[in-house]
Amino acid sequence: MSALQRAWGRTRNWWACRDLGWLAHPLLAFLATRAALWAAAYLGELAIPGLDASWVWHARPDNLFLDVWARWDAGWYLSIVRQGYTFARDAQSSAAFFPLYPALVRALRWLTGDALSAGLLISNATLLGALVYLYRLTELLIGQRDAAERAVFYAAAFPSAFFFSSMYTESLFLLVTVAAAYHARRQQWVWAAFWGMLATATRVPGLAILGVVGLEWLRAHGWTLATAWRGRAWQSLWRGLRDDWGGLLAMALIPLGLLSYMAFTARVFGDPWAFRVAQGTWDRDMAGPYWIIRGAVDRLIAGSFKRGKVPWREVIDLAAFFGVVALVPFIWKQIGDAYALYTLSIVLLPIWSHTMSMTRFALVAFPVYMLLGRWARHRALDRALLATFAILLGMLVTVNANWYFVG
Amino acid sequence: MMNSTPEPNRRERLRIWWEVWLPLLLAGLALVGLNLALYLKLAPAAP
Repeated sequence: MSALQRAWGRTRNWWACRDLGWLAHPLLAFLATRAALWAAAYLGELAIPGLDASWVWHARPDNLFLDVWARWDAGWYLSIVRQGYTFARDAQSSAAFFPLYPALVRALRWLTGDALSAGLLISNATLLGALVYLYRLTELLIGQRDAAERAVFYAAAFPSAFFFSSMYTESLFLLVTVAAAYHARRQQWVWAAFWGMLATATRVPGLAILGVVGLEWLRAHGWTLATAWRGRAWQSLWRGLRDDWGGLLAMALIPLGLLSYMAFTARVFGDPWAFRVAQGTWDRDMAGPYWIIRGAVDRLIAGSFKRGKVPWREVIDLAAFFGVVALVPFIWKQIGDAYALYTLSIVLLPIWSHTMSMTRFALVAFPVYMLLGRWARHRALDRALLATFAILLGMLVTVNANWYFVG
Repeated sequence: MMNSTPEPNRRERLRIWWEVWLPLLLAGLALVGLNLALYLKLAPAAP
């Protein structure tokens, strides 16, 4: 046996002794999908002339590999990083976008020298972190390693998963919400509150994580929605309040991310609700889910699928919405009520005012990946799901690279 | 006697440090950092 073989044997043993599945599987899901996506976005941009409109801009025309990852809302984040926040009552302004992501990009800009590469570094690094937490949380909630191995792949290959690598907040949001849920399940309330606070500084739906952490706290003290009618649940909750008020107190940290931003806009623009006013200028009106969905379905029925006369985005947004909603009862039964309610609120909050961007919003509904991971024990289902996701992902990243709005 | 496993109350102190004080400290730093970033770096430039 040569010295080289011995060294190789030792290295292999070292790896075998350490249980590194929690890192290896998320890393593999990350590398496999990102390498293919990076190539698909670049080639997709080259292959098709793209939208030729006066308002189309390019953040880095000198480097297309980077430029394809900055489309649509990326411009708002870039403007916040470069010029600071703006606010107007009657026109779109950057006050609609929450501060954690641009603040991190701004902090990292000195390292990369330019805002876009700093943003892409943060998006991709937080995606990897999110996948690691997702793996661990799935293991914890479902108790099957192979379910966790599949879940990270479904998340990384979801049809709109290219947003995870774009100059968008999706991957940061996934990281902070999954991490908060993970620590809540492990009853590490201050860690859960720390991540939850970052979630409310990332996006409005971050507040929904307060529900997950809160329900996990109640569950840890013997009170669940299903047992609320039993006297014993209330007794045990009372004991919990007496013995573990510290955990409950820590949860007060969670809204501080949002409150910091509101205090900032109150001071600088004179309105703590500036983000809502600004978001209202995006052609959204609070008609409620019934009228919004009905309007979208009417537009589909009025068109003709056969002749291609249907609003294509309405098709994918409604598919994402109904796909996620259909899974909610199963998430309730097989993962837990907190996760079902969280999933529902992630898709219900935006559809209150519009179907727009639903494909992107649905991307962060992480309990969906855990459920699919649990279901796809059968290899055929696993392959069918991954093939479907990957094909749609390739299509959407190409469309997005050419400046057609996806979400 | 040398013992490689920490005593229970030392382990408990470590756990409290790891699960309470460290995340509290980080939360405080994150909150201060976020607000500093907002007021010093992300506030609109003076006209």
